[in-house]
Amino acid sequence: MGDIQTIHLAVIGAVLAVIFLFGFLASRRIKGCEDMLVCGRTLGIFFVACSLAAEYMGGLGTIGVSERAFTEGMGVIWYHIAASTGILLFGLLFAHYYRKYGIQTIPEYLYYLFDIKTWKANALLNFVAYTFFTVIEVVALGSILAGLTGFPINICSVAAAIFITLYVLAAGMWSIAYVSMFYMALIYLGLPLAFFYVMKFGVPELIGSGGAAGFTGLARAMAESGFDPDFFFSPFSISPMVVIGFFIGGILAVPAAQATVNYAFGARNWKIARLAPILAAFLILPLSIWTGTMSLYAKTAGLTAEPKLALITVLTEIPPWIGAVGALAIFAAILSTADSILFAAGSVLAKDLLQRWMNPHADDRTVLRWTRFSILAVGLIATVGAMTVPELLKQAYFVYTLRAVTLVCVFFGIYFRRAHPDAAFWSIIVGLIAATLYQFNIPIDYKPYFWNVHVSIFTVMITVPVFFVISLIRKWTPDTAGEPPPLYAKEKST
Amino acid sequence: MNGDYFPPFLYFSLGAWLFLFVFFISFCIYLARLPDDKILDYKAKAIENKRKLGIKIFKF
Repeated sequence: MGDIQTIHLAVIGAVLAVIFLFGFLASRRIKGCEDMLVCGRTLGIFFVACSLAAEYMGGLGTIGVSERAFTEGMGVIWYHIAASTGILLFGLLFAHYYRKYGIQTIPEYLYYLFDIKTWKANALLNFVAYTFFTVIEVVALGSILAGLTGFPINICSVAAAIFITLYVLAAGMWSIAYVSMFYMALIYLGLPLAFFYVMKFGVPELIGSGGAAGFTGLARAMAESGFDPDFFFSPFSISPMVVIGFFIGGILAVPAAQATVNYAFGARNWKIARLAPILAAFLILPLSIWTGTMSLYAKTAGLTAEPKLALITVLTEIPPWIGAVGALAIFAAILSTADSILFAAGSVLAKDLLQRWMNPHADDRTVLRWTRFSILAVGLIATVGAMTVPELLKQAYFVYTLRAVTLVCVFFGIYFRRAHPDAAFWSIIVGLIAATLYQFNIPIDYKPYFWNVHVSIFTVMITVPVFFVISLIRKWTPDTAGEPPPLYAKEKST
Repeated sequence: MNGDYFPPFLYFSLGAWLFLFVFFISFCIYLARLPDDKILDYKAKAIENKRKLGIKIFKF
C-alpha cells in the first residue's frame, strides 16, 4: 500500500469514526417511530436543506459531471442549474401540500389524493425500486473506496453497505440529518479547496500557461495543447437537446422521489418545508464549476485519457492531504445519496407494507422495531447484492422512472380537477410496463422512433396521455375511492 | 489570453447562483409575511373532489 493510500485510509477512517459518533448522538433523540421516520417533525431549515442537497448531489453530480466536462466542456453547468430548478419547483409547488397532510411516505399521499389500490401499487413498487437502488449506490460507493484504498471492490462495497446500514439503523432520519450537515461541510470544504489549489499552483505549471494561474493560465495551456478554450469554457458547449434533457430529468427526478423529499416531511412547519428546497437548490448549484474545471485541468495536463477518471486523477496528483479531503467530498456526496435511498426503502417497507397494509393495529413500539428491522433487511439485501453484483443490476437504473410516474400522479392530483384514481393507478401500471419495454427493447428497439430520449422522459410521454384520457372518461361519484384502508376495513367487518 | 480571463460559463453559473440567492431572500420575506393558517388555502384538487362528494378520507 502506497503513502497516498495510507493517507486516504487514515482520513477515511477518521471520517467514518465521526459519522458513527453522529449516529450515536442522533440515536439519543429516538423516542418513537415518528422520531425515526420524520425526526418528530422538528427539523429546522438547515437540516432539511442540507439533507435534501446532499441526497441529490451523488455520483452523477460529481464524477458524472466531471466526466462530461472532459469531453463536452463547461456546458455541464446546466446539469446543476437544471437540478436546482427541479428542487426549486418542489419547494414552490409540492412541499407544502405534503407537509399539510403530515405524511411520512409518498405512497401515503397517493392514498389521500386517490385510493387504496394506487397506494398499494406505488408502495410496492417504491420498495422494490429503492431496494434495487440501494445495491447500485453501494456498489458505486465501493468502487470509489476501492480506488482510494486499494482494497478489492467487493470488500469495499460490502463494508460500505454494512457501514451505512449501521448508522441509519441507529436513528433513521435523525442520523441522516446530522450526517448530512457534516457531508455538506466536507463537500463545501473539500472540493473548493482542491479547486483553488489546482488553479493557483497546478495551472501555472502547465506547458503553455506562461506561468499564469487561474482561468487565464488554463485557457492559454488549453490553446497550446490544441483544445479550443472558447468551446470548452462556453456555457453552450453542449447541445440544446442535452440541456433540455437535463431540465426534464432534473424536474422529473425530485418532487415525488421518496428519498429526496422525505426530509421536507420532517420540517418543523410548512414554511420551512417550502423554503428549505430553495436553500438546497442554492447549495448544489456551484458543484459543476469545481468538478468540471478540475476535469478540464486533467485533460489539459494529460493526466488521463479516461474521462471517468479525470476528477479522481486530479485529486491524486495534488498534495495528498488536500487530495484526500477532495476525494472525501466526493465520497460524502455518494454516501449521502446511498443512505437516503436505503432509508427510503426501509421507510416504505416499515410504514406502508408492514404496518399500514399488513398489521395496522401495531403500536408505536412495534412499528419502531419494524422500522429498524426494515432498514436492516434492506441493508442485508444491499450487502448480498454488493457481493454478487449481477450485470443486470446496471440496467436496473430504469426503475427510477417510478419517480417520474409518481410525479405525474401527484402533480395532476394536486392541480388537475378531473384527476381520477383509476387514471393514477393505470398510469403507474402502464408507465412501468412501457418503461420496461423501452429499456429492454421488447420486442423492438423503440429509441430511434422517440429521438433516443431517456427512459424517464419516454415514460412521461406515455403516462401523461394515459392519465388525461382515463380522467376524462371516468367520472367522480360518491363511490369513487370508497375502499377504506385495511384498519378501517377490519373495524367495519366486526 | 492577456490579463485576467473570466470564462463565459462562470457568468452563467454565478448569475444563476445570484438569482437563487435573491430568490431565497425574497421567498423568505414572502413566507414570513403569510399567516400560519394560510396552509388551509392550499387544497389539492383530487382531495377537494372527495370532500365535495362526501367521500371519507381516513387518516392512516
